[in-house]
Amino acid sequence: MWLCLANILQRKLRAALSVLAVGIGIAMLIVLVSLSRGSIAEVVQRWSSIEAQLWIFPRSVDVITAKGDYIDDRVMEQIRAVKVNDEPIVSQVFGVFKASLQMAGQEQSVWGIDPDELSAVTGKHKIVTGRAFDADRYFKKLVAEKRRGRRDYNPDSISEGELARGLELIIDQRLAEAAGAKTGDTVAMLGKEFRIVGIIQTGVPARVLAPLEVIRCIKGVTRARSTFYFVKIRKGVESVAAQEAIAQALPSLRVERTGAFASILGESVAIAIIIPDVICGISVVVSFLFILLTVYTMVLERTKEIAILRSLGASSGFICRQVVFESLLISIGGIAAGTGLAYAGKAVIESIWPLLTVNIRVQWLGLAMVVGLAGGLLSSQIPAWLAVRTDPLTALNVE
Amino acid sequence: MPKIVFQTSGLLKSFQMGSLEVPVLRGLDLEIREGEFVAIMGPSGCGKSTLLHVLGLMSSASGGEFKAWGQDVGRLSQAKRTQLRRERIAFVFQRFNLLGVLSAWNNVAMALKIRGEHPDHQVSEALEEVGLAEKVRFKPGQLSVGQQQRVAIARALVCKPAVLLADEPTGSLDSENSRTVLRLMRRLHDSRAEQTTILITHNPLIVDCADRVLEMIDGRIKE
Ligand SMILES: Nc1ncnc2c1ncn2[C@@H]1O[C@H](COP(=O)(O)OP(=O)(O)OP(=O)(O)O)[C@@H](O)[C@H]1O
Ligand SMILES: [Mg+2]
Repeated sequence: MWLCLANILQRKLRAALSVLAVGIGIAMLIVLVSLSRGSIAEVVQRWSSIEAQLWIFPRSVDVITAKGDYIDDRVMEQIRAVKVNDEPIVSQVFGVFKASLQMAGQEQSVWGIDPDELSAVTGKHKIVTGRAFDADRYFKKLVAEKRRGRRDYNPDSISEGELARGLELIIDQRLAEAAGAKTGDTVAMLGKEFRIVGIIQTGVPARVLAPLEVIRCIKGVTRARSTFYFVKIRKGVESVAAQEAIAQALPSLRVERTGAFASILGESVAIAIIIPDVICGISVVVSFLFILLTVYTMVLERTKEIAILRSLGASSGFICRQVVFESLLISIGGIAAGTGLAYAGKAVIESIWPLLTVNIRVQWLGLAMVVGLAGGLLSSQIPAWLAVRTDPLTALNVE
Repeated sequence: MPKIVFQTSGLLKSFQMGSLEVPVLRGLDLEIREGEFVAIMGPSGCGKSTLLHVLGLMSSASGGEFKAWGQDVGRLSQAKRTQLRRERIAFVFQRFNLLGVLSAWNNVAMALKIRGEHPDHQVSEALEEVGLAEKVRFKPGQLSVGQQQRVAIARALVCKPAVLLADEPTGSLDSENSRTVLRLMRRLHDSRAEQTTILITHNPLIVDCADRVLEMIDGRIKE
């Protein structure tokens, strides 16, 4: 099939442009799919370090932004009290108070958590430099003292100096690298300067972890409230059974298994997947219109060549194959270029936004290949039909 | 007596020009036998090329009888006609009709590829026979017109066709090149016993080459 190759080489620039157009479409496909799927997979992966089995949050809360109502910590008592077959099922409940800060050019979500509960969300991940926040429990004890067993206290009764001792947080290694931050640095959050006191291995659910009472205090929360809770279940209790029992006892709250986070996230970020997918779809269609146009003009300007092949006894199938083959050559070039561009795109994206995860997996490359070949095949159908239909005699007569 | 290759009686061919029907072949009778070298001469517009296209199964007749190798062509499917053309017929045109993007070698090899044969030494041999052994890598644009026509002849003959149809093969050539090409065609014709050659020309030199010269006027053969 050197005729196709010779023809493509005859019009190098046009072929190169078509290859590039297809390549861009293919690269968009690979990068966007890898980005949307990769980011979700990365978050889900991080959640797997949480040692609690259940996750409880108000129905009004948006899973991604966690914006919504706070829950009164009194609910923790109700959760602890839930029984199955007259047996208590809960071994530990703790709240997380969410906040956010700006780091590495992106909004980072911050989990305010009791220093004594920290290990329940970080799992096996270790602090590699520095130490945990509020390590001597200074601030936790301070707030407990102010409360003196009551549920309310006045955050304003804590002095600036006392608060300053509590302004500590830890970040994960990936964020530290991305932001070029190290222990001892300070970062602004909620109008205060927090000190980074420790760096933890990547893989914890929130990249920034801070002391619960400090966040509440700055936010002026008088009564203990949380954004959501995690529940550890006693040994031997089925998590599904526990989930059902708690959901029944607290109908205003949503109770989910942390293990099912992937699907919860999946349903709530479906739109975040659909949009890139639609963009991919459009870009792929456009790039194949490009192939179609290229191959179509090629057929138009080569009616003579097709007529010659006809006079040599070429069958319709042979003519068709020439056209389809040429189209496939462009597609294959496009797939190769697109794969290269995708890796370049990944490098660029990850250098600009180091916290985005572009996880190019073999299956996405395979998908791009299938889409590329199918597109090449499909877009050659109209030109092929045109080629078969051209009248060889008129084409041979005109010079 | 050699076998009959083409036989027509009362062959009709007309072209539709809008609502007007333009008759070109008007009841043409013809018989061509295997191994013949036949020349067809006649005034411009009398339908010579049209006849050659019908004989070469490139277009179909509008009426009359046409048998090729004893088969009624009117009853053959398009695919069957294409196959017959591929296996038994080769063309040489006035304007060569080479593939401009391919070298001389690849142009000749293309004819074999289309027949599903693997091009090999036959290609070089064919080009050698027409005296172009040194030009195999050249593209048509890099060859003289006489050389281009010889490439076209090599392409036609590489498949060893039963019938060679040539439509004014010397029409674009000067007298020196015309002589060379006509002699070449005769020599190649003689080197293969069963080959039939039908040649359209205005060139008077043909009288020395052809076994038989047919006169065509107004879509008929003059006896
Ligand atoms: N596709 C076509 N549509 C309409 N008329 C056609 C077509 N092809 C040929 N004709 C007409 O048929 C007639 C014969 O054409 P043809 O090409 O067979 O002549 P010719 O004998 O080969 O002439 P020349 O010696 O000039 O090549 C011409 O009048 C031409 O106008
Ligand atoms: Mg003619």
